[in-house]
Amino acid sequence: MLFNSIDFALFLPIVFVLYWFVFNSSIKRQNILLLVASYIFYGWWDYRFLTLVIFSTVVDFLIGRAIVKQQLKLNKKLLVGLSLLINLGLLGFFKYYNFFIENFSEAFSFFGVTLNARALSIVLPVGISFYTFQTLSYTIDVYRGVLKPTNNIISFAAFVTFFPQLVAGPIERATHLLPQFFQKRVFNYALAVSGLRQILWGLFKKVVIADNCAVYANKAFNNIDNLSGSTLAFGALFFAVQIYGDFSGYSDIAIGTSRLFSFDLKKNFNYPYFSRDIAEFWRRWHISLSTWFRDYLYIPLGGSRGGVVKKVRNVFVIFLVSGFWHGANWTFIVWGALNALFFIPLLLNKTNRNYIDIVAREQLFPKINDVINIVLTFSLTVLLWVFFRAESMAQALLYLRKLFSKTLFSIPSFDSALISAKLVLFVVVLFFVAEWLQREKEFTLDALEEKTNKSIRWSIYVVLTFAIIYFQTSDNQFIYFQF
Amino acid sequence: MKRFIKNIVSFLGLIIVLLFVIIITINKSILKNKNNFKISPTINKIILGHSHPEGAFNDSIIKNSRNLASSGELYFYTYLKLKTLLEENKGIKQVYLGFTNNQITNDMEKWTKDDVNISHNIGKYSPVMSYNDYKYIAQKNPFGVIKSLGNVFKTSINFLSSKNKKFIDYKGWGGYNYMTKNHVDSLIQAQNKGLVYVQDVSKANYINLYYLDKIVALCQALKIKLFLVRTPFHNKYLGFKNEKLFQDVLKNRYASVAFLDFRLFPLSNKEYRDLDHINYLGAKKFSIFFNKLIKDSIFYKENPEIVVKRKIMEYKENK
Repeated sequence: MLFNSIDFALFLPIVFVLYWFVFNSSIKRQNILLLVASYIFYGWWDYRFLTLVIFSTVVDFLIGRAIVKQQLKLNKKLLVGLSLLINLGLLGFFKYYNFFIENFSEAFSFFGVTLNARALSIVLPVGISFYTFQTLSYTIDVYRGVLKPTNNIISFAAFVTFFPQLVAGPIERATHLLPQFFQKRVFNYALAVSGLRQILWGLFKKVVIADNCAVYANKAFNNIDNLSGSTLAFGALFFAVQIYGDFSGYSDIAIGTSRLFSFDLKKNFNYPYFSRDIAEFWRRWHISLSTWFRDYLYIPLGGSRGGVVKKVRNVFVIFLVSGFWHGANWTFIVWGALNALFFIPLLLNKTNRNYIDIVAREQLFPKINDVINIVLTFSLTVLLWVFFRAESMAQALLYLRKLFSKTLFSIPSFDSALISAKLVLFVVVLFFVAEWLQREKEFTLDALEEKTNKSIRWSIYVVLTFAIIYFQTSDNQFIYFQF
Repeated sequence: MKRFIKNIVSFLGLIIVLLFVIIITINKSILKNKNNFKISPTINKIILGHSHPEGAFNDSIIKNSRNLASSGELYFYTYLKLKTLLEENKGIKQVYLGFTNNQITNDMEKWTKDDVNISHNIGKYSPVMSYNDYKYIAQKNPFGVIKSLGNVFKTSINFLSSKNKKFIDYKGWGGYNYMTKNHVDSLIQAQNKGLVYVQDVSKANYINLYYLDKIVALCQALKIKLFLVRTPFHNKYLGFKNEKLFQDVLKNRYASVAFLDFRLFPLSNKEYRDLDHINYLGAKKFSIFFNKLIKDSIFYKENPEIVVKRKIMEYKENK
């Protein structure tokens, strides 16, 4: 079920009413409702893949309980290893099987050996990368002793499949989300209103910003040969805005929806395009994934401790794995590797934590140095997104070659569409101005607190709602569903 | 909680009211300006229907005609269009309406209920739709109608912001489709390999004919000459498996309407876009032929069906 669909617009109020008015007598009943609602939400796409989610849930529930019963460290290790094997095995099969088969076949054929393995027609289950990591965080934390395993399978299943963040995150830690399923939830007016505001802002980002930028980004990436360098530069720019609007919009809707049920999800984006270097960018982009890799991969590998070689290795590992997590394609791996290349000098110079706080706090305008750094970091990110968006390495390289041709300084031109590129660009600029002005807040509309005049607040809501209606396009799938 | 629900309901109510007020106001202003639906006074023939006539009749060749057929259009929307055009353009005397075998298949059921089709067409025809027209579509797919309101709002706002354009032109109420592509050879190859989906047409679906009946009645009431037209098809086209049903419909339901059958009009592979649409080359040849028949007043002779067949035979022989 898509957040930006009529189906969800009906589903959400029904679950809300049932949650607060019918199933409100106990936490258990509310959790059962959330679990059933989450299964319906997921099954709406393809009910057959629910078996996978249920399988992962049962396996990790049982392994979690088994781990604490073990006295020997080795047994605990074997059990957490089993959880990793099963979860990553499923993920590997559905997401990476064809990639490895094709690449092994090509590698063997290079040496004159023909491999008879066949690629399979495999459908990638929506959200598998997200819920796999979420459920893995549970078994690993139980193994580490930072979390007690639960005996309540309903609450655990509801934690794994919690519908607001099931298919595209934020990837929640068991230590943060699971305990909330055992706490009594009381309706909080301010929290619920804030949640609705965040949903509205998320929809605006998705429908108005991302989907309309997608029209022009797709045009650019589908017609590389026929477009000028300047048009391709705008195409890459539109994609950078699209992926931000799309994914952070989804996260906003997920967080906002959770608030309606008195749940708190972690912040996933923190104004990443105002970053002053690539290290800051990665602290602000897809935070739930970056911190997951940091805590469960980077730090166990040794993190930033040790010699230069070890440091470089660890950074490469985390960025390569992060790239590969996004998809079974060399483009993602190269995208990860390039990010690592730009990150490593900062780490080695110990300047990777230079910019921790948001830029120009409590000031309207940033310093000129900050402006230059933001522009450079953003430009670099835009170029790196080309690898992320391209369907193959050849396409990515062709795109960059054409982009940096003589026509880079010509006037860009897009075919006329129903909503013109100029109008989309204008709205994008307004959007970033709004984000800049509210960058110290949790999310952009967070500033519209109760103390703001009601007529002003409602006027803004109405304008945003009509913008969503006006700018809607037919292509409305979320990018991160494919991951 | 009460306060929360009260605010939610108030906000949604406000949005719905504003949306309707904007749409109704714009639609009324569009309807008020009669020029929005006027076509050239020299036009006395219009061509309507879905993609088959849309691509077959080049109206720059057929004198005093205007092709207003539109891809994927049901007779329901054609009826709304025709009614408006006849009201505002008294010079129209003849209507050539596409009528082919797929009009009585399950495709029409899908078109009627499909969200995209509903959204696209309500966006185009909302100013001339009455409450009952909305109700008719809403009975088939209520969510489709709700979803289409956004498209109506969007296109209405866009029309207001455009200048010097008539509504029928702006909204794309139809027009000759200059199709340049040609997929005939690859389609025949795919068909020979059994790779083409063939629809089961053994059962007829008459959902679309209810409004064709209304079109016939409308033309009879206004004394407009209506012709049902079947455009040229490739001989490898598999969509004629329901020909018997199709002929039964013609004989029993539309016996009073002349049926002009150009299915066997001779064209080469390169003159088709695919097996059931002709491209610009085919359209040119066909439109010249069609124009000649009009010029010779063939369609007003007794049994025009037979005369058309004879003329096609003569054309084949003279080629």
